[in-house]
Amino acid sequence: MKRESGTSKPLASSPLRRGRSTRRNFLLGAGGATLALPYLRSLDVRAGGSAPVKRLVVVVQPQGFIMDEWRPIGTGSDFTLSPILAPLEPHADRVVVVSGLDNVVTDLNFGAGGHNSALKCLLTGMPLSANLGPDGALLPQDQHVPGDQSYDVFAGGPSIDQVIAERLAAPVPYQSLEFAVGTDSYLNAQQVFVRGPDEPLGTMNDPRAAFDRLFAGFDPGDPSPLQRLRSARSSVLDRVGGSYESLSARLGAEDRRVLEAHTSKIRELEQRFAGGGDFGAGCAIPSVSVPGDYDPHNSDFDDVGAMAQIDLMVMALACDMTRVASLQFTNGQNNRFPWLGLTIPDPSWPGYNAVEWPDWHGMFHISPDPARDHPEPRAAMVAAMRWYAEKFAYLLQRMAETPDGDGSLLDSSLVVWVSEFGDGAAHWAWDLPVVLAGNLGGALQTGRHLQFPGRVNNPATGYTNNDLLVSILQLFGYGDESFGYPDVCRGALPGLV
Amino acid sequence: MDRRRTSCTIAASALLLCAACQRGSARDDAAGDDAGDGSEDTASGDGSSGDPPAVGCDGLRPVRSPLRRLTDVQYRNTIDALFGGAIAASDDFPATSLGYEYTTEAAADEITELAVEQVMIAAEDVAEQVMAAGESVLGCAPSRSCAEAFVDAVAPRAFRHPLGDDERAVLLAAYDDGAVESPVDGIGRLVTAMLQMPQFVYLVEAGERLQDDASVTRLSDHEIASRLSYLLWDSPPDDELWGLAEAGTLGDGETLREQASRLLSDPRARAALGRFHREWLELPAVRDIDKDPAFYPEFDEGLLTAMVEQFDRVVASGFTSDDSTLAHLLTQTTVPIDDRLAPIYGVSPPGDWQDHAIDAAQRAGVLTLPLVLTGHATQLGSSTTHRGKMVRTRLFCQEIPPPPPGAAAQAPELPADATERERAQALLDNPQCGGCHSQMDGIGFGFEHFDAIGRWRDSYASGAPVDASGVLVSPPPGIAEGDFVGAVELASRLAESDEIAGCYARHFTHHAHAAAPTTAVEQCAAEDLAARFVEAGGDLPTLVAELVASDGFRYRDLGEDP
Repeated sequence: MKRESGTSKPLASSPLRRGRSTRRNFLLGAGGATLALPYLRSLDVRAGGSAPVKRLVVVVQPQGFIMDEWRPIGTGSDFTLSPILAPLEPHADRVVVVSGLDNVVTDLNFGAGGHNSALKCLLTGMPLSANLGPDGALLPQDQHVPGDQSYDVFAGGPSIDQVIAERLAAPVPYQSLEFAVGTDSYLNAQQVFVRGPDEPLGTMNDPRAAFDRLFAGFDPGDPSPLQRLRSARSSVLDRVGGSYESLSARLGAEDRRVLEAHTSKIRELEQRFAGGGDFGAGCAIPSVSVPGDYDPHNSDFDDVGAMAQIDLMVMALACDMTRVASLQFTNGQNNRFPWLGLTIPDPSWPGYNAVEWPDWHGMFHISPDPARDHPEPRAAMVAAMRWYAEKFAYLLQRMAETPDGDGSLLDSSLVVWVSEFGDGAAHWAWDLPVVLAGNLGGALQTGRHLQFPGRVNNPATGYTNNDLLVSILQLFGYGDESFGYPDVCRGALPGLV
Repeated sequence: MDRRRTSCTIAASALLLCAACQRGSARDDAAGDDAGDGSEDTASGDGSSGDPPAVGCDGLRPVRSPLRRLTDVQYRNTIDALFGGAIAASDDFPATSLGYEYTTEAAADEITELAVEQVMIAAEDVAEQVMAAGESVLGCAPSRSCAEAFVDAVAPRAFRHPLGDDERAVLLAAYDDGAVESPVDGIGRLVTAMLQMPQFVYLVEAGERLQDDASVTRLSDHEIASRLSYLLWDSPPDDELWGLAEAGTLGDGETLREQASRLLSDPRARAALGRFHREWLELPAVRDIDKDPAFYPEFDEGLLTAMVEQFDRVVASGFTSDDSTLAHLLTQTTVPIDDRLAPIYGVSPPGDWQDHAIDAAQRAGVLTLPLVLTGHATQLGSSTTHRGKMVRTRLFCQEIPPPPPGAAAQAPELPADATERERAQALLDNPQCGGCHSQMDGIGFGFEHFDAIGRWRDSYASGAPVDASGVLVSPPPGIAEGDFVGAVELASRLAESDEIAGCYARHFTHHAHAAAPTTAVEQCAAEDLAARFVEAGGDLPTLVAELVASDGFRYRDLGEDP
């Protein structure tokens, strides 16, 4: 019943994709040799005693939870973690659990698909761009983009991670890095990280590709041919950029727009790789491995994929390649969690019902309905949901043990864990599950559960996801009073900032 | 959580808008030709160098094909062709999104900073291999003169056009930059630059602006060669096409028809035709198809790969067999089967791929291939909704709105052993669901004899007998409305329909031009092509020939006001 990991799903030998992984040897320099990553800029900024480094890490996970199994008991500093959040116990004094917030922006996207709309609004606090008029105000409902076309449009504003990355304007090679665990086949419907209206960033969903991008080819001895090529990036990009510009000049306006968009990205890369210098305190080439038949599209590999991506992400932060990193779990359909010894759905469950429990996603739809509730599938779902908390705890642990400046990465960072839904069964974006962690250099007072009244049921006194987003800005020291669509943002959450 | 867009953007509105254009076009006046005889087939198809007539439904019909990046598939094939397989294409090239109707659409290759960086990393990956291979790939020991020879031999094929002086200069400058360190570094930088340049990364169609109408360009012969080979092979032009482009004879409609026919007969057409038809039938993400191993232990990577290969073989041979019509593709009862597929068909393993006469009372045509039935099913069972919706949207070119918010909560509770049919029937009986679901599940009922991996079944696991009687609610004109039984009867109704053929032609046009028709002229051209396809009895190679010989294949509308 339990599937051998990765034996029954196509990719490597499917006609759609061919494998080549000779270069992707993950078992490099275990423990990490000290080397100069040639394109990293000097970190003199920090050595010079200026403001302490602040970092943001965002984790997005699909579908929400069974909220009764997620919500801690008790509020303030006197609370007990729930069954799902139990893995955070070792870090309970480093987290703030926030419950009760509603993402009401989703409801403004009349007619747009549930997941799609909720995800795209989650970090932006803005309706879909196609639902906004030229003045930035919401269009009447009958002018909204139809639900089936809403997959291809993006949010009408930047996501919080990008706003902070932009404002930090850190002298690091990557303004932000976006990692993903799971398929990217439907990326257009799942773009949660956006630089601005209709400007999605895309995610790296294959840790092998992420490794290639960030760490491949570095050799403490003689520079490898690849390393020499990478050292020459700025020069080659300059030549290539010139070829885009001269070709553009000969093309029609629409073609020119495409090539100019490409050229501007090339020029950004050229700038990024123009520097050279030192790297962060805990920096080493990470030792990461995945099985030979690893397939990022197969959710049976999500555990190894998550571990590898977290290791790469933490090392990218440790090397100060970036100050803003994100991790998005994208599989939300057929997840079976075989590494937990689970079978989802399991025909041996008493009362097993193939129609009601077709797959992981289908089970979400019915999970907490008492009339339909059954202890066995509920227990399996809670165990699977707890796995996300285990990965989040692993991230916190890795950050806590990785030096950064005078403390650890966890000391200098704010880590935000969110999902587009609250109760997965309702499939709506109310009563969102939020966990904040890390100290952000002392800005966040941790070890608390803050419960707020939601805006939907408390129109006058309730709070929204937008209020959380503006709180994050204030934690970073910015004076903003509102974030995203202004009508649904009251201001920072009392007691959080 | 079906995240794919479901609309058919080339739907009926085009028909209405363009009806007026269909009569009295230049085509009908031109040479009194019937579709498919190959003479004087378009207003401008004489290949002469004189200026074509003015743009209009009864004049020149250019098409706005957006500038697009190579898809990930096209990238791999291009690297393979460039280096004769000696160098592996990089896995780091940005993946093409599978979330759009066709992977050829420009939006499916979004220009993000990450994607541009991935293009760079992929270029470095290939360059590193060339540096390591050295003389065996370059044909000479790395040096300035070797670099020049390499550029002259390889760059034109990488860029798919004769090398311009400025392009040559950029490549050699990159070599010179690196040669300061070593000739091998020079080669590395040269290759890294070449594989990031727009002439490689994009299907550039600069053409030459018409004197009388500067918002229209006529593609160069090399650009036409690329259009043809990427359309039918997902690959760059081969030596024969390249030779014709060099000779300047690809502007001629008759030559294009001949070349299209040659390309369709080549084994390289199989994967590209397979891809188009998989996307047509809403099966772009084959890799994401998944079955519950508790129910389908035999479903594994090998079986899915065989399903894909069978599908690709069927559609590719559909273009070359004696009966090469869409009707045949929809009704044929001989299909290739290999050892992995034999159990699905309940036949003994043939050893290698062999054509097999299937039970014509059970299956007919492409819609009953295991891949289609497997892709449009759930992990656990069949899906009358998915299968019916696919027929409704992709063969009828009709739209089905997405379920309203909260729809799932309205699904009635059913006993544990309810069959797929009973579950669907409960939706049909619910007044809030039945309106849309009758349009989908009514068709999908016809496929109920096929389980989630496309095997025939007479009864469900519970023992309940299968009932495959369906009902066609509001089909397109020309298709018999009302009750039918089973996939075979459904297929025969579809095969007889001109509407289905017209819908297919519009999909092929959308795919070929990387966009649905938008301008009035494009809609004229698309509807005219559909009409010609119908006139030709739905002959598939004729559709391809008509498309490649049409104005839109050689003239681009730049979308600028003149």
